[in-house]
Amino acid sequence: MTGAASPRRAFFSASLGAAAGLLLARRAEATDYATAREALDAMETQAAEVVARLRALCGVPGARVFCERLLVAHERQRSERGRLRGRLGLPAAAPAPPAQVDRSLAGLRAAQEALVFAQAEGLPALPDGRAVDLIAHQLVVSARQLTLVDLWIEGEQARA
Amino acid sequence: MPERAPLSPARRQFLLRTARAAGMAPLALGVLEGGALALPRGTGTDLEVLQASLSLEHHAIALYDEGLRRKLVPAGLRSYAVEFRGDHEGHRDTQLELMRERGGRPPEPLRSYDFGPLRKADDLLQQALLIEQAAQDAYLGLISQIRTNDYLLSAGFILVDEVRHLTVWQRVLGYRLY
Repeated sequence: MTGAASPRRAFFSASLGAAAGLLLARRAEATDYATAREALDAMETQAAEVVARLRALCGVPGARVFCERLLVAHERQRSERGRLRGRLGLPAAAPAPPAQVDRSLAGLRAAQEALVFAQAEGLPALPDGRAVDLIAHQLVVSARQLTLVDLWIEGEQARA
Repeated sequence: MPERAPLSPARRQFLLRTARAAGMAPLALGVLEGGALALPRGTGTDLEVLQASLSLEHHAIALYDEGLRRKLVPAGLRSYAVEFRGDHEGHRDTQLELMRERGGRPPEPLRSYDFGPLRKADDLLQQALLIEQAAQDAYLGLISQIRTNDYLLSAGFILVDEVRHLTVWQRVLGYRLY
């Protein structure tokens, strides 16, 4: 990952209009992944945190079915990324899960959002259209999950 | 790599009908129809995708404008409609800038759009659901054709917005979400 401002970031900073949404605004801070391996490693790291948090939340009454279904999707995505790494000649990833996670929805949301960002920002680092297509499909699933977590949080706030 | 499940025939038909009605360029339509597996490499490819995407953004903005103007959006959902219209305006403006940078001529909004009968809130919500579904499917279908990194990054974030819009309307309309 690189931290310095890139021409891409400069473009986005200059072109952001007042009407741009939150996620469009995020582009100004986008991480520039230099290689597909960097991008895929970031996805694995973020996904591992989401999975750990979902496992923790599985024990919360009423959350088990939701969390289990999301975990199935994450396992499928991990497997797909593993095959992509193999096709690209990259070593398998084995990110260490976070040592400890809480059961907070805010924590799950932050981790899920970081995964969405890693997938979106990783697209330009991928070497071909097949890889972009795969990660774009994963991005759709992750973005949907992020929205579901948002709706869950809104529901909890409405009940409070 | 696993083969992706194709869109259902009904969903594909709607996407294509919407894309044609919005004035989408023939080459991009060919990709969405599955007749062209890949557009040729070159700056013209991004212009094709930009033209197609802008056509759909104009369509979506027009729908939310119409719904908000005619007060068809239920009060409790108005903030979503305003937010989503703003997102589409942001998508439009970003892609207009990208197109102008590449020397392209952006498509103008159509003078009118066929939204079907919009008599009550449910009609509008159904149309919003359909246009957001079409937008998600179109960006997802075209994103692997994009050749430049700045547009690819933008398209990724636009896709995230489209998924959010679609998921919210699916929830409002009582669809199974997970």
